[in-house]
Amino acid sequence: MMKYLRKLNTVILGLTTVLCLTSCSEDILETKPLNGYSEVDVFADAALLQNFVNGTYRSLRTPFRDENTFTDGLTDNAYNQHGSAENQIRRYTRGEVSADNGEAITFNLWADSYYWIRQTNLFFEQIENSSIEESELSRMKGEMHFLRAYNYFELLKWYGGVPVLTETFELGQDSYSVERNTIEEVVSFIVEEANLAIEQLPSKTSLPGGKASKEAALALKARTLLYAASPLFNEGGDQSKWQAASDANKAVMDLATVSLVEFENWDDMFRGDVDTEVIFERQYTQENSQGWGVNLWLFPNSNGGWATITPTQDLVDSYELTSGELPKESGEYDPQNPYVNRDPRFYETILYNGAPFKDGTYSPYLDFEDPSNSELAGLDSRISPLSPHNASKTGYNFRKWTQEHRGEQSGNLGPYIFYRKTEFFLNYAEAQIELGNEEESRDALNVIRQRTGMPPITASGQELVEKYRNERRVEFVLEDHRFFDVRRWKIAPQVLDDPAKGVEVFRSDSGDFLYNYNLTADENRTWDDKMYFLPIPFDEVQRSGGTLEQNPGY
Amino acid sequence: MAQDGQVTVTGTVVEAETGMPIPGVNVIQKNTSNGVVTDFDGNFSIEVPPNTVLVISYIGYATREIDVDGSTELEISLELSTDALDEVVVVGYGTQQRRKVTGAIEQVDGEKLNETAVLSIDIALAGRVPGLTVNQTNAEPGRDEARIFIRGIGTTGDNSPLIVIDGVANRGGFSRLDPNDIESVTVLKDASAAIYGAQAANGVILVTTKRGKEGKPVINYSYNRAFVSPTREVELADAALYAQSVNTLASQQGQPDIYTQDQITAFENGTAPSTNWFNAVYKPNSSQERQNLSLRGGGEAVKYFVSMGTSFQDGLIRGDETSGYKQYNVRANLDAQVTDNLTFRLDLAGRKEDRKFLQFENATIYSSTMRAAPDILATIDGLPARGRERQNPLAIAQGPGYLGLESNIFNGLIDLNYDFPFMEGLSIGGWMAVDVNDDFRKHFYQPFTFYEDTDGDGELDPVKAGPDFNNTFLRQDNINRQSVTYNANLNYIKSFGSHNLKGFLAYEQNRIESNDFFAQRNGYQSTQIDQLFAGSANSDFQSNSGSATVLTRQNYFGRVSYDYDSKYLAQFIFRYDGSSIFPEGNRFGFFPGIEAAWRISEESFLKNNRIISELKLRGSYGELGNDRVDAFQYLNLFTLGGGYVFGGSNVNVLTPGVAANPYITWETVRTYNFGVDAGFLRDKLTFSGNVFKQIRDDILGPRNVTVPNYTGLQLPDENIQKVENKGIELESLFRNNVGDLNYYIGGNYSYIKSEAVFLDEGDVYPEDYQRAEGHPVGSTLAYDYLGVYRSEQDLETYPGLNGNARIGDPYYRDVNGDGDINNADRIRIDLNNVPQIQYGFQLGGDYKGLELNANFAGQARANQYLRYSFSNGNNAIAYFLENAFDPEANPTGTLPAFNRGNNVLSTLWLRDVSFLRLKSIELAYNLPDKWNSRIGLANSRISVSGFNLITWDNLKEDGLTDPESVNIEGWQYPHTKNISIGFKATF
Repeated sequence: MMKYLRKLNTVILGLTTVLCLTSCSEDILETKPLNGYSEVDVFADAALLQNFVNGTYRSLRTPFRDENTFTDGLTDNAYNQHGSAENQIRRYTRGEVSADNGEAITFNLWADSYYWIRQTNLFFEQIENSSIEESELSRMKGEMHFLRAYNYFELLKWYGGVPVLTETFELGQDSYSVERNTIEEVVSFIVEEANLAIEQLPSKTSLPGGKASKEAALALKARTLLYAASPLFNEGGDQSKWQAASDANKAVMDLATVSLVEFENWDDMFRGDVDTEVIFERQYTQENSQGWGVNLWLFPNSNGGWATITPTQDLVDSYELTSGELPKESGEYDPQNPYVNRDPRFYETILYNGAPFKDGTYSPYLDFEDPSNSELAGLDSRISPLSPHNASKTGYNFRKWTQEHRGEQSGNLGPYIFYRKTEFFLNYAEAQIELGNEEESRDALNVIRQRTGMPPITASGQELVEKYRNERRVEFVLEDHRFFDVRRWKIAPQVLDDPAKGVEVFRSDSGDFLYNYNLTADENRTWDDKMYFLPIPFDEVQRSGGTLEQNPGY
Repeated sequence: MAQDGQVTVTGTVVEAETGMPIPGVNVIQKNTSNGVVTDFDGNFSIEVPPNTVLVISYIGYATREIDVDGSTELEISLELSTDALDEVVVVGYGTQQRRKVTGAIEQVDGEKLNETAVLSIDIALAGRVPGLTVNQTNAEPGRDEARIFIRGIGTTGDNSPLIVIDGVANRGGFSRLDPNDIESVTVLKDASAAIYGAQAANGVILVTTKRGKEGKPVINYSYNRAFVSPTREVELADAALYAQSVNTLASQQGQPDIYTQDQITAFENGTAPSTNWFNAVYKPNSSQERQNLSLRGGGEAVKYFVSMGTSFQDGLIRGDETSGYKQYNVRANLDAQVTDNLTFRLDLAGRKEDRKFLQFENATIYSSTMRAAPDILATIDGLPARGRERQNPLAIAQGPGYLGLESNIFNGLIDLNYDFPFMEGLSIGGWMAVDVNDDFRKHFYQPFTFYEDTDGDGELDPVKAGPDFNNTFLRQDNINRQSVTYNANLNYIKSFGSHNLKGFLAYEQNRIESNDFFAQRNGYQSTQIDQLFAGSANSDFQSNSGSATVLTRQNYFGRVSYDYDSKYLAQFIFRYDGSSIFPEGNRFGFFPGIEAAWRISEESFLKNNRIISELKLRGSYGELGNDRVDAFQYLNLFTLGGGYVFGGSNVNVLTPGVAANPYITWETVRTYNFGVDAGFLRDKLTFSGNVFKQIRDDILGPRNVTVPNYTGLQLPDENIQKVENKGIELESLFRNNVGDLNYYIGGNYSYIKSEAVFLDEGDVYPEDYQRAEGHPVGSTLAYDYLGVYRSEQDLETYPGLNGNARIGDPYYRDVNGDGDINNADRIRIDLNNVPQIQYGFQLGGDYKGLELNANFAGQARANQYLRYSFSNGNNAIAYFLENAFDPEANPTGTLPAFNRGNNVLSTLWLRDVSFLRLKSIELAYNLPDKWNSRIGLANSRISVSGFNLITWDNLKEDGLTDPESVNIEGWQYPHTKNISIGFKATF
């Protein structure tokens, strides 16, 4: 057929050359893509390969990626409103998590992580016989080991033991069945990868900000080992895991290339202005910012923000007075004048009634005499004349991470910090408590207390544990810790089963304020032990042919 | 008995060709209403003055005037009118006489498109062609194209039909053609589409523009002005209902009241203002206009049709002088008989389309209207107020920002045809078409101003809203697309006695190249000048990029038609298509079509039957392809993009795309069609019907079920899916005349249902009834809503979704009966917003210069998800708030408590969007000749017409959106109707 047609074609073609000019040719169908590179080019060219490695950094997930991605909203620290909060976050905190909706709160972590893990696996397969110089390859290898470890750690945190896959799959394989590795196996793989990265990566002092460094790999390893030693991941209570955690965290604590910031710069760190303490971060620019931006989500209504996530009264109550006592323990604390003499971090983290913000004052109050008069109510109140649905439902907003000098819609131009040095003092302190060295623990803890200007901790025993946990809570608000900490300590039933509450503020004619602590933002929070880990997505269990074992309770 | 001076004239009317008597013929005394109709034997008897003139007329025959001239007995013979029999149907690379058509082909006269005064003319096809789904899903000026499917949904991939304009495929812009330029629109539904091979699987629409006619030059001018208004007002909650609902919602969340009873009372009795945002934002009407001037004529050597038109439409938002649509179009279609054997054709057409929109996404603008709280003002002292989230559409509309889309389109074609003198019937031809689209997009994104008293001094102050300085920008995009097509063809037509043969062979190649680039600057200090230079000088605030694509096709094809005495007809079509979309070795495909028909009415036993004038059985089989898929899927590609930041600077980033699929090929559909065409009483009544079945294989889809996500593979689509599509189409038309009254009534109906046969679903669903396989394409899973938990007893009786339930929640059917409601209890919902049934009927007529045409279009078996979200600060449609259950505030509410269950798909939110719509109606008056000659015109016509004037549907009673809307919350530009006046003159 083809042959015959070709002949015919030639005949017709000859007769119509005038029209056809020179454009008719046999290879008209040979075209190539003009919008991308083929894989052959990418893995043979050091510059393109570096671009591919750069791309893999996009696997780093920050709470800045979208509205409602701060995990604090799933804990006693905060309450989320708007958009997916109504559906996904609330469904989760009500305990309505099931095998087919678990991914809603992680925004498809399972599929995404393995997508990026495949990129790292592809990298290692493709460079095996690469013509690229080893000197050029070595750093890229270090970066990819780091990123592979990072992604497995994300999976470990949310799901527990997951399949450790280091080779790429092909299309059309007979079977794709895999089994889950144990938590121990995943941990040791992450540690191995981190060790390779530590070997192959230079110090952060010689790298631009945002690049994986030796220090970043050390930090990743240290956090991983802390998690691995914690009750949720260390069911047997193996003390040697605490020793490993202690050693790894001490190594980061002792790093000479990063140093704790002075407290006066503590808030600047979250705006990206001071980075001496920062070990690893993700940076943003105007062109490369994600979503609408953290200012829009955090800013109060009076400044055009959405108050997407707001602090709970429980978090506010966890800030000690400058005396070192919690409000509930202190005789000095006056619930009708609650925001005086508090831990300095309180003022940098939380917007409370009367807090100065930008050119004005945070004002969530209602008029005492006429609480429904929006003329007399504050601009941040729930009947604000501005956009009442963007008012905080708890009477507080977050200040931390906001870039006050920028507008509400300027994208997220500050960095998100994954690891900063403070964490490793606290991690070390935790390991030392568990190893029974309370003195050593208090020393590490008090370095941070002292920096903050808070009195040193002298407690011991369970009281020390509580003090430590509270210290960690107030230091790391909105830094993706609380959600995982309450799980790995297995204290979720004590802290995540209560309603999310806030404060209702009234202002009298004389300008005095009255605080009512009975305001509930979310009544229906429930804890169920299955929530220690997320379910493996239902579809994945099905697709594995049943070899993937589901987490308990789903 | 004759009256005074009257005589009785009797006679018989027979067919000239056969001498057979014709029943039902009108016999009328000229210029009177005195008339009779012939009986079954063709006989009539009429009383008339002795020297009068009788007008003898009958559909399908040439009208005759007979001077009675004193006779009392007449024998009148009527000639068959040639129009009906010689009606020509465009079939793709040629034409056929209607009676010789063997496929399922429908043709709409271009004049019909002019009955509907819309600027997107594809909308005018709604209701006119059985099997053609025409839905206008958006009515925004410039974005109001119809969504068109031929024979419904046949694939999970791209279902859009191939559109061919004047023989050239993929020219685009059908909806923007000037209806005054269109001769006909033809739809190829079955194997007849095989002549377009790998692009024909979704059917083909052939648009033919007018050409020159032999005769003296005729100038036509037409003008039409329409007043466009929303088809309906969405009934949003007023302030009282809103405030009450906000309180109820707060109490459900354990929070105190937001509004006091006093405030609510004030809203109720009107002492406090309540804003109807729909009315505050949308004008009752906007305007639309179309003008056209054409010249048509020609001699033996040259024939010409030249035309020029303009049209415009503005937007519906009050005070919006930005948005709108403007079009200018010119066309020159020339035919020349160069020598006895050589013809030459040149078509040149140009069009300029200017679209302007407001600077924000539609969702922002329209949802800001629908969701704005009714207790806030839309305007203060006539100036736009803050609005919802500082996004009052009235303020946005008055701002300096805009999105402009300008398209300049050129279509050119040159065609030569040579008849070989030495062999009769053999000819050779070739043509070249050049189509250029230049798109220029300009998006100026700037702050806008609303007014409020910010400092409390009682005076309004302007407040800037929208992007801050860094986020202001101007982005300009240029997209240049050019398509060049060459065609060479060899044709043969010959009759050997009763054997008629017609055929051609052709070669065609096409290259479509597209280049685009853009530049952008942010940081505009002033909105005075909307040019790039005026943006920030800082290079961090400047960006640009560009890319290109090339697509080529190479095709060999032909058709042979044979008939014996117009009685037995057969046709063979083939196309051998190659495309650069697919990898080498996999590029070419063979697409045959075969058709046969038997005209029973030509058999001796039916020939000249008085009742049955036409009876034809048709059958066809064809294999067609659908190559509308992304190119280069056979390669592993890495693209730059996404970006990342190191050390404060952006770096290049390469991201892999989906894995390569080296085996990729096109979808293939096997299409079977069986049809009947019948005509009765000399085609006074016609009927046509089709039943068809399409089996489509090799549909591209992912192996989503068999390959887990942990492989990290971004799965390519593979040719694995299979869909079947079946349906029935019926249509009928009755035309008649009674004296000077000519009238017609016609209708059509189609029922089309697809079935996904294979989608690689594996075991992914917990229950078998959840599989999409076995259901129509586009089916969804939804919980089966039963009711609302109203009492503790209900909570005990009905299991809650995932084990949780509160009073006010919806409860669902426990489909698998396991005592739990979870994802396994979702059921398949077959219907979606592409209707399975559609129908239309047309009626009209003319009487002494007066003309009426009406077209009704309807659909059934269609669903749309319609739901709401409501909170303090976000209003909703009143229906949802009025009916939301609350144990105290509204114990009889039929819907769940506010927002409950609106995050899961359930039958609760599914609405039947069946409708019947008076799609168009036109009343026209052709001025009498004596008046015309007085004002120097040959003909003139004035008309009044309406579009979408009446709709019968199930949404209206609940104050919901238009049934053609596909937005689940109604956050969309309102659907529109219009009333127009028109004038046409011929010089």
